[in-house]
Amino acid sequence: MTQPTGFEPVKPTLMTYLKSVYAFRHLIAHLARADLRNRFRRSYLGVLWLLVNPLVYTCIFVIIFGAIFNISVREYAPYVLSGIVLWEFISNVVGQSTQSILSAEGYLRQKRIPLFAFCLRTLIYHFVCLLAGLAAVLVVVTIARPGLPLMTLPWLLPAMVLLVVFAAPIGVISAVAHTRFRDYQVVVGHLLMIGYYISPVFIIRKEFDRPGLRVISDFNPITSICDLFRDPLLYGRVPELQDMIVVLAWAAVFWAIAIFALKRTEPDMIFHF
Amino acid sequence: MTSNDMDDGAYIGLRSATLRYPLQPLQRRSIKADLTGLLKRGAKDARVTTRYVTALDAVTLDIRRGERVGLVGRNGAGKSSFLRLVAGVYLPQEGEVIRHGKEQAIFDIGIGFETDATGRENVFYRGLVMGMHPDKIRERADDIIAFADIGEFIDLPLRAYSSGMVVRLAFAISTFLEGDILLIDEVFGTGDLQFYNKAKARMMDLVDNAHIVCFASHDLPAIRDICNRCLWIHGGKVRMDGSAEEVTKAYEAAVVRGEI
Repeated sequence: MTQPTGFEPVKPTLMTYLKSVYAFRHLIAHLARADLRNRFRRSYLGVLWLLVNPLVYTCIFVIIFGAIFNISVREYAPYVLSGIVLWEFISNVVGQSTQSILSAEGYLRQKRIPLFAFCLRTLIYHFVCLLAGLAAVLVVVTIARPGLPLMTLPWLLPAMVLLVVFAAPIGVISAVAHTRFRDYQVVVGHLLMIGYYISPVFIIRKEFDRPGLRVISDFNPITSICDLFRDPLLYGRVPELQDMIVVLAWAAVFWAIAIFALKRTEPDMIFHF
Repeated sequence: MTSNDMDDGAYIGLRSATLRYPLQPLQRRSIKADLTGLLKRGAKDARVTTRYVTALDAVTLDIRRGERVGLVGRNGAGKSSFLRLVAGVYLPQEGEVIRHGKEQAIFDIGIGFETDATGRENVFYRGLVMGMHPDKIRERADDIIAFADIGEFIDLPLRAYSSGMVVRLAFAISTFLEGDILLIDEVFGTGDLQFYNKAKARMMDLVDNAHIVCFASHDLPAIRDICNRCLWIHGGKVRMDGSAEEVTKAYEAAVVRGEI
């Protein structure tokens, strides 16, 4: 007896669903690679833009806010750059994932492909950009603070895993929500703006420890993510357990929403393009 | 169904499969429309009365290995919906669709390209979309590119192509993939005469090698030529199911009499 082949869509279990995503792993990898190539296809600086952009921003922040906060370039430059790189990753995954499913219409009209595959495409693309950004941070750190202990750098690995586990479901939520409600992108744009100012992206971390702001920083997952990366990268410290718990707790909430949303909407998503 | 039926490999089964297109996503809801709707309560709201279009209505049938099934019927009768339901692009809201065997869909072949990528890259992506292994695609890439015969354009981004070139490439890719169940939706559009003849020959070759063929078309002679069974679909139901000769004649007669 031959087994049914292809993606068996009716009420898939988590296992069969993941299997069908895995079946399209080559497609995901190649599309993500195509996205990276296309982004710089006809640009002169090419991939260098990934580094030029945050570095320019860093310079501006260092000049303006370095003076306002009254801290040295050596201390502030790596801080701001790492903040920008992490923020770019999160806000891009949230914002650009709105197109993940919509832009896959051509494929989905020919073949049943699990929607999560296209969410992964966006995630992988931005993750590669993040890696380039982190490399830039590393360079700036070694220039600005020679002699910093490198022993804690391996802690970046769990930090990256946590960041991806945290960002992936948000990408799914954005992709599903925007395909269903085209107002989503506008709303989320404003939410991101708020997130930018209540997170230690360019504002000095210790400002958020003031009594009134403490509540925000304790529960803000982006604060914890910044800490998880900056502790080993800038200060030679081991990241705190509390930050990991905060990120994981938020990730669990987002995963629950993402899985629910996919389950509910995937069967007839094709009618919503 | 006995287990013997399944041993034949390729098989398509529909069990009271119903496919409805929800209309709500297409009707742009806006706060403005909702507010004016509130004011004009008395007026009949079109959005509420027509929520769905039924594309296929409780269809039950079996298609077994060796059958070449033609699909005839008017525009909007449900032919394309049937093919997409079998391909798994649409899921039935009620009933069941069983498919044994790998499908090879030849519909909407012109969409789903990355326009910034080259033709060569797109050959690769399309193969991956259809679930092929990268090695297999590499193996066949040269044949596909030779068949498309678009010269050095193959290494230029797709946005530089003429519409005819896109069709040629799309056709070449779609017909060099592998599958036991061939699902064809009237594909011959653009492309010059020379390519048309080549494409037709290629198509016949595919039809000969497939285990099951479902071919939706308005070209009744072609259906009589290719198919050994024909479904006349009307209003989402199978109005007639029989030999290609018999069904196409009946359909033709009904059209002439102006019955449908």
